[in-house]
Amino acid sequence: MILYIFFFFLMTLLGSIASLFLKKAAKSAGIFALLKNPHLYAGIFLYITAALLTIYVLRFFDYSIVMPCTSLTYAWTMIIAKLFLHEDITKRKKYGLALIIAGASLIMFM
Amino acid sequence: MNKPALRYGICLMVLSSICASFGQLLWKIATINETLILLVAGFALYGLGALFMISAYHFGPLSALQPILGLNYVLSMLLAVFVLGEHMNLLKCIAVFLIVLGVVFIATGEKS
Repeated sequence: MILYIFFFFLMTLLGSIASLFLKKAAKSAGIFALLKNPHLYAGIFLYITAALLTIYVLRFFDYSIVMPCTSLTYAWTMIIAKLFLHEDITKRKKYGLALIIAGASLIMFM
Repeated sequence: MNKPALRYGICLMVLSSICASFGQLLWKIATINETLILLVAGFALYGLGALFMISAYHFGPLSALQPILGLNYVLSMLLAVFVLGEHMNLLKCIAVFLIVLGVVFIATGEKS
């Protein structure tokens, strides 16, 4: 059981980091700069890894359980933004985060 | 912000949501039936959804467009029940409601 929760956490964490890299890559000026940007490839690699983990977990759990848990990506994005990018998190966003964690926990533990 | 553009952006986001949900549905079916082609099709749909989403960003602010991603979770539940025949209960519905609300809060959470 613990192992599967770990997988849920890992796949959403990787997905979050992937979108971070892809966002950085998206700032490239023009398609040639984009294709030369290592962030693009890091993002794609991490995204595919996250997707494969998701597919693996889907073998053992219902679609209606796995999919809501993917919302944990929002949680990671916020944690990363706060800890590594030193962004300010508004109160409303914190409430949103709490709601997502509440919903995902409900699905995981019920 | 001009209205027709935003409406177009919202339509693109809805399309993106539909593609992503169906793509992931195909992944689930692929794990049940052990067919590789469904896996690939799922990735393709998911990619299409991503393209729709990126296009949508041209037509409106993130705070208006990103809440629509909450649709993903609602759609997932509907697909799970009506296509896959998975069990549904009140707790799962409440959980999805909380998540959708959370997504809306986060997407609209920037001070403007």
